[in-house]
Amino acid sequence: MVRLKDRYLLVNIVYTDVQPGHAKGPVSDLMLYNQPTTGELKPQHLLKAVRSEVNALFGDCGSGAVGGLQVKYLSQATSTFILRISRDHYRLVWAALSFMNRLPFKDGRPCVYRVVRVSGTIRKVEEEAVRRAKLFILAAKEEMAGKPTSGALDALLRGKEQGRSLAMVVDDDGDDLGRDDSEMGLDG
Amino acid sequence: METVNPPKARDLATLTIKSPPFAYAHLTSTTSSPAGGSSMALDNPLDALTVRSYCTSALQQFLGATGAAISVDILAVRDENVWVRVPRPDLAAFSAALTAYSGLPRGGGVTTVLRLQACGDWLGSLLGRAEQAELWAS
Repeated sequence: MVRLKDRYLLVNIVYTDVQPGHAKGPVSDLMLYNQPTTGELKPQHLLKAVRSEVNALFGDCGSGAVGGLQVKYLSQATSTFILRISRDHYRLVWAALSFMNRLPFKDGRPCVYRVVRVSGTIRKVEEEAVRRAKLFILAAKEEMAGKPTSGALDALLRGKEQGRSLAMVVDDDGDDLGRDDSEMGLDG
Repeated sequence: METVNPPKARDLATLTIKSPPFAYAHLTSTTSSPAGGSSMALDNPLDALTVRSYCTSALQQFLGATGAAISVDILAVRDENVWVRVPRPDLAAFSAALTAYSGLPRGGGVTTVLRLQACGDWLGSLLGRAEQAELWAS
């Protein structure tokens, strides 16, 4: 039985239309950029937006390749969602996300879709989402306390090693049973 | 009797072109009249601009913005024959896009379809192939 391999993309929505320092009340700048989303965002809207962007960028061939796209998880409070796509075509979806600059409504807010993790298993992506949420709270607290440099912020923005882009980390395809066909690398 | 050994042939220089930068394609255009039959005779002859718009729409439909960005050079247009040049890695995508396209409507119910006759890495062999076919046909 040939294994069907997927890639799971963890995506953050970063809002760009709020000036730091102009918020009502004491809110850290980090929280301004990573605001919760308004209540109408549904998985179907996101799916439709990504599909139409892939169609514009990559035509009929691309939209056929990306037919297996699913939104596995969407959290409006943390403005995070997880997409599932087949392994061979995840870069099309990533490119389409880079070209999207608004929420998928009429006159949606301008925002940036930032892919922060690519993994072959959803468990690793979930763990990463939890880890990032913890680091985010820590970094926001440190910023409000007035610390000039924040270890949590570094960890959030730069990942496990200094200077290595977080999104370039791709986990193995293995599961608990065995690692006979584990793969590393971005274009596995 | 002395025999003079001829000098052995030596290769002075060898060059292997593993990946030519461009690939060439020969296309022919067919017009379908609204009555349903297809005829080779054209009321308005084919020109480079029509070929350009045809290729762009075909690539745009099949591959979107990345397809429309494929650089297609139109080398020559003679009657209903067109010779084009594309970067070699894009030849597969180009031929697929042209084959998948259903034709350019040119007003009055007439559609023009460009058929891919031959494609290859070297222009000389493409031309030779076409003339070779004519040799045996006529």
